[in-house]
Amino acid sequence: MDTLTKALAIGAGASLLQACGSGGGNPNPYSEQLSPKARQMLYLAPDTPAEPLRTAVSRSSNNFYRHGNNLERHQFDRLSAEAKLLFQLLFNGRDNQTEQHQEGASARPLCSDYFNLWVTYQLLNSFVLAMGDELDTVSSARINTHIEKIRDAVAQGRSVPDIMRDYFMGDIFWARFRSPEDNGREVMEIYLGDFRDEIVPVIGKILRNYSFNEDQGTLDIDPFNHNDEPQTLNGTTLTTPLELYSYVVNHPEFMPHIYRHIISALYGEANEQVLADLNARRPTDFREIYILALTHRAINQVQRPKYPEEILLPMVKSLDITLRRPDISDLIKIASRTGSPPLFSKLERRPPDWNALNTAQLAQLCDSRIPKELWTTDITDYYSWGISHEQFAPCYVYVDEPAQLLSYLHQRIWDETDVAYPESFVRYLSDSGETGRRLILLALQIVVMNYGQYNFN
Amino acid sequence: MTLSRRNFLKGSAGVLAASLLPTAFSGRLLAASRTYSVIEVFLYGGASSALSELGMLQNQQVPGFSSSNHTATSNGFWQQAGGDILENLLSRNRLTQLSVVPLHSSKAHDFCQSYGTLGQAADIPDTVALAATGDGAKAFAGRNQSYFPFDGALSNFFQRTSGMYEVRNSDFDQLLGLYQQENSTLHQAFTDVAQQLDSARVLKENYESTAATANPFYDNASISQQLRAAVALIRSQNKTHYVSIPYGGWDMHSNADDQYIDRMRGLMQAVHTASEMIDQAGQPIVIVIRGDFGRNHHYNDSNGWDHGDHQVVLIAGGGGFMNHYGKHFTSGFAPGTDLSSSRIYSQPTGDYPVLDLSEIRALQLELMGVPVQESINKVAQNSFVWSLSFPAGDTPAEYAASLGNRYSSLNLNL
Repeated sequence: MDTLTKALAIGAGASLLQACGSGGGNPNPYSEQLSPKARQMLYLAPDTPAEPLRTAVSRSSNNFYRHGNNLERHQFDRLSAEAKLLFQLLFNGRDNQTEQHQEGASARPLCSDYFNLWVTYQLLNSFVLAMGDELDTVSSARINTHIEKIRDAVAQGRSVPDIMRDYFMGDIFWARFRSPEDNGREVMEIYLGDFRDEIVPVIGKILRNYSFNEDQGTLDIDPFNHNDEPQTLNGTTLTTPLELYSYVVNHPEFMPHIYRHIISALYGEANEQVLADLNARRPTDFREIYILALTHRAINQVQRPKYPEEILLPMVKSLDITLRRPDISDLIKIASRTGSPPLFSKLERRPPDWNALNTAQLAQLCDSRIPKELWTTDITDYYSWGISHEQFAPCYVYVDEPAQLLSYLHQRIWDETDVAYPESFVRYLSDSGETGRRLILLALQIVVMNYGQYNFN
Repeated sequence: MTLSRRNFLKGSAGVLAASLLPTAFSGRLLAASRTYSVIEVFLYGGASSALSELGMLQNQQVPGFSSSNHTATSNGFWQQAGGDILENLLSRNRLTQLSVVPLHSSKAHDFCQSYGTLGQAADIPDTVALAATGDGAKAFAGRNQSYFPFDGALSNFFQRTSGMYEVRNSDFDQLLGLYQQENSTLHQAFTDVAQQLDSARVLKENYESTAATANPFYDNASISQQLRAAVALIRSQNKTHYVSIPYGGWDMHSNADDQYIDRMRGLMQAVHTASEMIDQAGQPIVIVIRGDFGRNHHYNDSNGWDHGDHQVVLIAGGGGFMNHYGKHFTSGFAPGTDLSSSRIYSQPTGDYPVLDLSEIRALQLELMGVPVQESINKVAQNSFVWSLSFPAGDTPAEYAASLGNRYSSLNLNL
């Protein structure tokens, strides 16, 4: 392996396919502090203040939606639902310097509102509450309503069975699984793990007066075709859809399947230790489930490809880089190319596949957002984008030491310490003739172009 | 998920009886032991075979298949959904249609998709190159080599020439040069991909410049672009390829007609132009089209089709090197089937061979040059048996041997 590849592969190994750790032998499987992996999963910058997750996410924030409201005047409504969500996750929890100065507030990258939105986004990408945006029956209006409902339910701490029963009885679930037989099959397979074909007609009969009206975009309930003949399912007599869905959410296999879907999506595998600990505690609140999942020591063993937003969002937050609105749409296009479009699958979001082409695309997006100018304070200006002055200034400390400058920037952007760049890159900077701001920007471009970050082997 | 061994075998009983082929099967398709590139289009969601079965459905008076936009062609294909294109391909020795009924009884998407796509990439010889659009590489699970990613436009993202790339300047070129000097294997791989993309794009655009007016089925839909890009890629690299193109959107539980006619016709148009491009390339390239499963022919209350089992697999193209079987299936309904019930599953009549999706995978291996016995052994060993729940004394190895025996009975010897 050549020197450069070796150096970059070290970084890739630690970030893209995350390194193994060990939490074995500790009677308390949970940690107070966020690990670097949990931080990346939460799309947070490396310098996020260290404090217990439970404390951070219980704190309210008084400037939530500030950027969203600004953008709303400038085409925010034209963004797709997934773009809006990502935009909120990018900007909220990140204080505007001007307001921060005026209000004397401290930086609050994690707060209750941010976490509620993050949990909602994770759920919408998992089997639990997947959207099925690819379906003709799933309209933008329906998606937005669904997002709002789920986020409110998460924020209010409603129990998972309650939320899910309402969801099963609502339009969006029927837009996702559209006929009685389809709906009945999927609810048993996804939420109880029962794949028997012979029970499908029984459930289809219970649900027979429910159907999705594509022309109206609504769940049609035909009062003259309802089932009034008791059906037997696993020894239980059920007649109405409400009885069926209540049976599902109260089934002893229901919560274990919810845990399994959540952990599979977050960890990239159904980590049996994490699941065992969840089943022992039996939380019935989505926020609590995710807090336990994020603080479990097994998170250090996670090995899966990063999702595109786990690469781009921490990067832009680390240097307070401001993206333009189309950049989020570009990110979603790239996610689609990796086979992992957010909110798109009616089953669950697939992990990304970082092949050479996808890697090049995201690398292009990253390195094209390293600007030649610094951004102004008005983010509603389409042309105002780039690195903030405040984050740029500390880089000047290293302008006379190119090797340290590269290592410093690498740690800031990719959250990896002790990465030494090959001498040729250091020499390239030294020989460039650039100084000050130009030199920093050149170093940034080297660091952001880190192809090893997208290692797909 | 797991399926019981009992369930698995239950679905196979009727199939085994109908699976004996009278003559060397793939021998006719393969013609002189030629090695073919395979472009696999997997119809995620599970497409209905109404395209191929409309005539039968109308003859049997299945409700819902007789309205004005349901016209059967002379061979019983659904004209509006692309049946006229099938007739065209059929008349020119560019089409084979085969019945597929799964050996298992599952109608769950995840299981059927994995069963129908996995377990072959690891068995493909190193001499066969892999390529995929979108997330098609999920069909390459277990691969022992890298694959070539591309999109319908054969875009080259390794060159920062896009108008959106606002920081392109001499810095970037110098940095690329630096990677080059470092003999970075990553950078070299990227550079190679970039060159191959550029050469393939030229071939594709050359075809399209004339076909746009000469071929009545030409269009610029995404699936058409992807299929033509695949042919151009294979041609530009002049190697035997296995290309995976995922094409979803077939889980039509509601308003099936509205969706199916346009989507299936678009796919058939894509196949036609790709087949024409293969002819012009003069290379042995075939397109194999299948999905999770077939569908129930009952129109549910949402005017959709729920999951079924029997499906008609299409093998198209071949560039004239292949002796196609043409329409090599007939289907109907089991005696006593209540056509007014909510479950109307078609089934093969037994006059033609019936395959399992694992056997389509074996056939693909043979097309790509794997000897027949080796194909049998490999598919038998990689047929997702590890996902089945076997009782004591009834092992995956026994199942693998059983599948191998069955496949041998298809008389696929060249």
